[in-house]
Amino acid sequence: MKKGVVKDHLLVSFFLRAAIAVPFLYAAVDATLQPEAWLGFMPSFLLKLLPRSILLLGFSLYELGLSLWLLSGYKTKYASGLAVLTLLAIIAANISALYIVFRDVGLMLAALGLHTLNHDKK
Amino acid sequence: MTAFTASFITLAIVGMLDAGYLVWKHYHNSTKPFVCPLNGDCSKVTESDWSHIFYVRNEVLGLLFYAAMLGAGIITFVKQEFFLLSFPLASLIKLAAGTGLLFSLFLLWVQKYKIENYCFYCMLSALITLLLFVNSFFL
Repeated sequence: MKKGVVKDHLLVSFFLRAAIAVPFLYAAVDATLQPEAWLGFMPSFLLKLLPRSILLLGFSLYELGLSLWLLSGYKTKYASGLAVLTLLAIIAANISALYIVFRDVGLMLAALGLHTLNHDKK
Repeated sequence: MTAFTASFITLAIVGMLDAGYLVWKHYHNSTKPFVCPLNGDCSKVTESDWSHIFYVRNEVLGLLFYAAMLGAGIITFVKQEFFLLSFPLASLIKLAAGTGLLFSLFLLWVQKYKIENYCFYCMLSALITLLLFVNSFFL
């Protein structure tokens, strides 16, 4: 690749990583501060399996970890793939609230774009 | 208001990651060049004569600033929940964020006119500080 193309690739990759990581980070922080606002987005079968506080804390920690992984730029191919699967699960679990999760469709496509951008990297 | 507290805390964490990367790069990984998406030479900025103020490196100051903002955000949330504090915390946060923004603007001026080079991570830090300042009015 030419030097300019490499730099463009880095910039696009950075903004895509930030675009996907920041909403995950915000969701993790907000779910910790006001868990009652996020409980409704949890699948009912999971709510029956685990205590609500542990479920939300666990998912917040997962989101925090995923956002840090995305921002780090380490093995972005796998981090973005995991983000796609996570967003797909969030959309599927809340499809009845499509008027809210339609934004997650955009995020999922951005994560897919990031994955495509890094698919040939080790 | 809790949503704005969450965004304030999120911005502080992102700022800590940005400043933390610069600190880590300087103290543990200084031999490898920066990965700069803006085609600039970050090390020309981060290792310049302007990289210190009062013997403290700018990125260390930034890290401390974002850590303080994170602490302030958490205290704001606790205050909202339990009404424990009575001093004007919101005014202090605005003042601190405003000071941070002015310092960031000064560093942008230094990059443009004194060093004549840009550091992507420093510009990102300035953007985060601007957003923190705006966010501080909604806490």
